[in-house]
Amino acid sequence: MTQHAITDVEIPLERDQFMRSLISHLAATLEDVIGVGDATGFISLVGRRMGDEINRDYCRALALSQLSRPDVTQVLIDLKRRIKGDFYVIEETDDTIVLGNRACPFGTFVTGRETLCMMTSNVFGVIAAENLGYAKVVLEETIARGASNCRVVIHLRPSNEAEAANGREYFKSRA
Amino acid sequence: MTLYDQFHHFANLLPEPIILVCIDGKLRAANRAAQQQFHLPANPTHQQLNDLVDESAERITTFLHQSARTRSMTPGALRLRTADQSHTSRSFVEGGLWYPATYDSPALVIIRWRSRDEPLKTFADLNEKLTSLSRQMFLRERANEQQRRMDERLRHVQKLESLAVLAGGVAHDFNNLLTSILGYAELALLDLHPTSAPYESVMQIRLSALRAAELARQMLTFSGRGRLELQLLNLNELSSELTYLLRVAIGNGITLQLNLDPDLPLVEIDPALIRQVIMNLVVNAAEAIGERGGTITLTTRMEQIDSATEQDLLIDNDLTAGLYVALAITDTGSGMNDDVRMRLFEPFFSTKFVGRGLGLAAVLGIVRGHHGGIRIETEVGHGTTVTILLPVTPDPVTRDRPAAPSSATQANHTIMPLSADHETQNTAVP
Repeated sequence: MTQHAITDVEIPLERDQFMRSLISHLAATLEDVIGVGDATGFISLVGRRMGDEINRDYCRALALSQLSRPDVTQVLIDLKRRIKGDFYVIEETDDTIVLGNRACPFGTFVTGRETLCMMTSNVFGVIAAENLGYAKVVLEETIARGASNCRVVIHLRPSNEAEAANGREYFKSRA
Repeated sequence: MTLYDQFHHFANLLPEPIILVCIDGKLRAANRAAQQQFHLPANPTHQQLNDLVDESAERITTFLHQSARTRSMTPGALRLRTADQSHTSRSFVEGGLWYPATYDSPALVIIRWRSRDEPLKTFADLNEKLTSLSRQMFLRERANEQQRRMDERLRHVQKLESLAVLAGGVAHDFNNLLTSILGYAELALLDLHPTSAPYESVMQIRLSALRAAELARQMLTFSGRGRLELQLLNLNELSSELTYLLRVAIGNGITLQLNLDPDLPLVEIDPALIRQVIMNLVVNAAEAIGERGGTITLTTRMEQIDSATEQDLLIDNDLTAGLYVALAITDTGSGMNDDVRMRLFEPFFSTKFVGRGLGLAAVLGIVRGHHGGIRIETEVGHGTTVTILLPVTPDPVTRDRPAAPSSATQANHTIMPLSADHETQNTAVP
């Protein structure tokens, strides 16, 4: 009788929810134990690996050795769509891609956990740099910091404007 | 700078041991920290990675292959042997494929160590180092690429210059021979009756000699040794005058658009030759568009040339920095691949079934003769833009010339190549 009641009770727990909660707590614990700076560094390293893996997956699926400039924008939008983000193109030139985002894949767990934004920065940066040679990702506005939408600027060429922006640089790993 | 110099250039700046190792486990380079720790030379040739670690060869191979494949941080504990043969607990913290394998060079993996007992507060540092390392590699690669492009351009320029010298020399000697042929043919004609069979034969000799003279003239033009009848002109007027002829030449189905800068300054040009340049380029553009139709746009504008923009120019005339009038001919045609683009201005190179391949060679010679430059921007399937740059002529009033003409429109003089037998040459070239 009790067993039946437990399995039927409404608990906000399923795999996706659990994984998001787990990541959020991991980030929080890291921030508390080793500080925001190193937690950011750690998530960046994980993000690099994720970016590399996702890039390889897309290249393999599209049967391409590398993605073109338009492909990169589409892949960035698409990968976020697949993990329940809602990214869109605000502006695009030869030198920059400006993306907006209405929904974070981490959901409400991201609020106050800016370190998790390093996942986006690194995944985007690695994919753009591996295919186009260089990227500098600037997280101008983030839901994690309390904004209603994210605004992410990706510089695709080293320039004075890119240099002046406060972001992270990524470079193609292969010669 | 060699590959290993490039490695030492940045790896020596970092405090932890870093080595460059082939995918088969052979060491190739060690930074200063690694040299000290393992008593290695800067570029070890006989040592293997398994001399430094206490792991099975199989595990080392797996590790290297994994590093090469992922090209990212590959943390994994491998016990490191120090120089005094004691074992310390260290782990690889970074692995990556630095250079992919080619037929003459194996894949190279870069490995960096840190002690396991170092405090965890290394993630931020690690990230910075990683970014720094990749930036160095990126900048080095970019510098190499720039050098490669400059070398390629230099080779191309030297090749075109050699061809120009050769073509000019051949055309010059050829002209002298043609002078004799034409002269004797004219003399023979005077002695022959117009209805006689030999008369017709000599007439054919004369006609062939004249065609050969035209060919020689084109070769001379390519060599930049042709005659220039210079006038101060506005390129817009010249382009507008040609519009009717150009439309006839390109035929139906192709739209010709003019986009002319109204404030264009005067340039000192040979109008007949520049007309030939425009005509050749527009006809070429039309042929690139072909039957499917499209648009050719003729644009004039001012351009400031500096040392950076000169790098993009296809031909090198030692353009001095300054103002240039640009004439760009853009087509929506098939574009060109790199091979065609590089050989475009070579004499006798043609992608057409019929064609002598002298049209664009002549364009090159004419532009060279005007101390100008040419820029090609092309993409297969998207079209081509050929831009001719001609130096802006200084204000005629301030020009430092002993015999400067009194008015711009009256300026008209001839530049002749200095040649001992230029009169003979003029006789031969109609």
